[in-house]
Amino acid sequence: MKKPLVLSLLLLLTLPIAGGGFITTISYIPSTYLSIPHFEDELPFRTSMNNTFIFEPFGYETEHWSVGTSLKGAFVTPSLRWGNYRARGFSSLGLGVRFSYDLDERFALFGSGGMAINRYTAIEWAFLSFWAEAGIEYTILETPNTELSAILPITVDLRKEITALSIGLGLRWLFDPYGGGLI
Amino acid sequence: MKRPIIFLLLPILLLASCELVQDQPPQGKVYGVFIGLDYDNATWHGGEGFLEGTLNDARELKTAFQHVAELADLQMDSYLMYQEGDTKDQSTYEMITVGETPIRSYASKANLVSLLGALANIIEEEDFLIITYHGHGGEDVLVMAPESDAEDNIELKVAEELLNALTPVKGRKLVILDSCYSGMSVPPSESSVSLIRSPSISDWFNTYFSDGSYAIPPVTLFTATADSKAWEYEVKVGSDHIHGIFTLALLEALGGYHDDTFRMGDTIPAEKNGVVTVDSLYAYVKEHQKLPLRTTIYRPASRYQHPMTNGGAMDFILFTL
Repeated sequence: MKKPLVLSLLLLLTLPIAGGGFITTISYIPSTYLSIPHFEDELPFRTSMNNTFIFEPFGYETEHWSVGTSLKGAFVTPSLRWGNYRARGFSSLGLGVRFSYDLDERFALFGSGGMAINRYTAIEWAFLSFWAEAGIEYTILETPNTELSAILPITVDLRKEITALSIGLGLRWLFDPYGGGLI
Repeated sequence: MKRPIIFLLLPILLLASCELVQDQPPQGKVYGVFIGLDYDNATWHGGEGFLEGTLNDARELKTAFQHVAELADLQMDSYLMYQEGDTKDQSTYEMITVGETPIRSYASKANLVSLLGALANIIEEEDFLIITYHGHGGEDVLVMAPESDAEDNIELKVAEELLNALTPVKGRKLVILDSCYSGMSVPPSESSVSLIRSPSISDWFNTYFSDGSYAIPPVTLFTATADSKAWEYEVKVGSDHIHGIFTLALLEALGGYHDDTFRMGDTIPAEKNGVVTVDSLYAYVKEHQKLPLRTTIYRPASRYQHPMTNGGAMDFILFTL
């Protein structure tokens, strides 16, 4: 059982050195998080703030497209106070896959999806969720090894009792540690 | 350059929150029923189980909730139901008048059911009812005061009897239980898993994909323990003023403190962003109660208790200050 795991890890670690196009990215997206309930509530939707951090340790890019695995952490605040109830805040940890396609030198489209485990901030209850995301990326700065982009993702969070829509404006920092590979 | 930025910001502006444009719903009246029993007159199980802190719990929590309701500009009617001392003679207990119905304040099962029936006639949709119970408990059971030596039907089943008796009561309802194993009355959530109840991976997936759908609970439960005993402690070392561990922390959360007597302070420590909610009380109790939350190999404890409340997406706002 251990051997395939060690081999996979070695492969993942050596790939960026062996060839070009392997990238690592970090993103931060502050966004509004709109919870649309599937149950009877006082409001059609509730508004929270969401801070999302995405780390993509292993990505691969060609001239026009890129793909990567992502580790996503999010912190959603309780909803704005209104009426007799409010939506609980929670933190989230998820795994997903991300694709992007360059429209031109500056603009790209991207999409991602995955699954997350979530824990309410104040109480010891947790839940599972799935997410799908699509958006536009605009490259602000570019050097041979790095790239800074503004991203506008629209995320749909599929929870059991809520479908949440998250819209924000974030930054994505792409790093190509080997500048096209060592070999 | 400006055009893409405006284009990017537009959807955020379009989705500005609902909460900011809608008028707040009307706030009704608050009703409180505070139940405390010392079991000095109990004949069950050989008359064991005298509790020293439960009457302090009920009386002081009544004062604390009334104080916070006043700060929130809400009118509150409170009723104390209790059993104190070794008598079963109900005539020594004062009468409570709910609407036009007189009810004896002796904390027997029959009197409590009558009180809830009377409240059902006066509580409106926008009102809010708090019931607190301080006494012995078991798995989904509360132990009420006997009406006579012969009475053995003193167990009040939470799910079957108490919550059923609350069904005709309109408005929002919060039941606070400071008794052993009280968290076992908290039902499983249709949308989330309790981490205190150690869910397996399949529980997470089964909950997500199950057919059951979440609804805001008709009665929110907030309990002293998840699945262990609940304990009493003195307020200060050497003091003879006793409280339940959970209620003592809850009193502090609501701004209460003890010096020579019980007093209410100017601030409400559980207030967060202008509201006191079940979650904010829960978080305060968890952090400030005088016992550890659990026993572990690294921090073994013979006495521990973990508060519990309903799972799900929504937190119950008690007071807006």
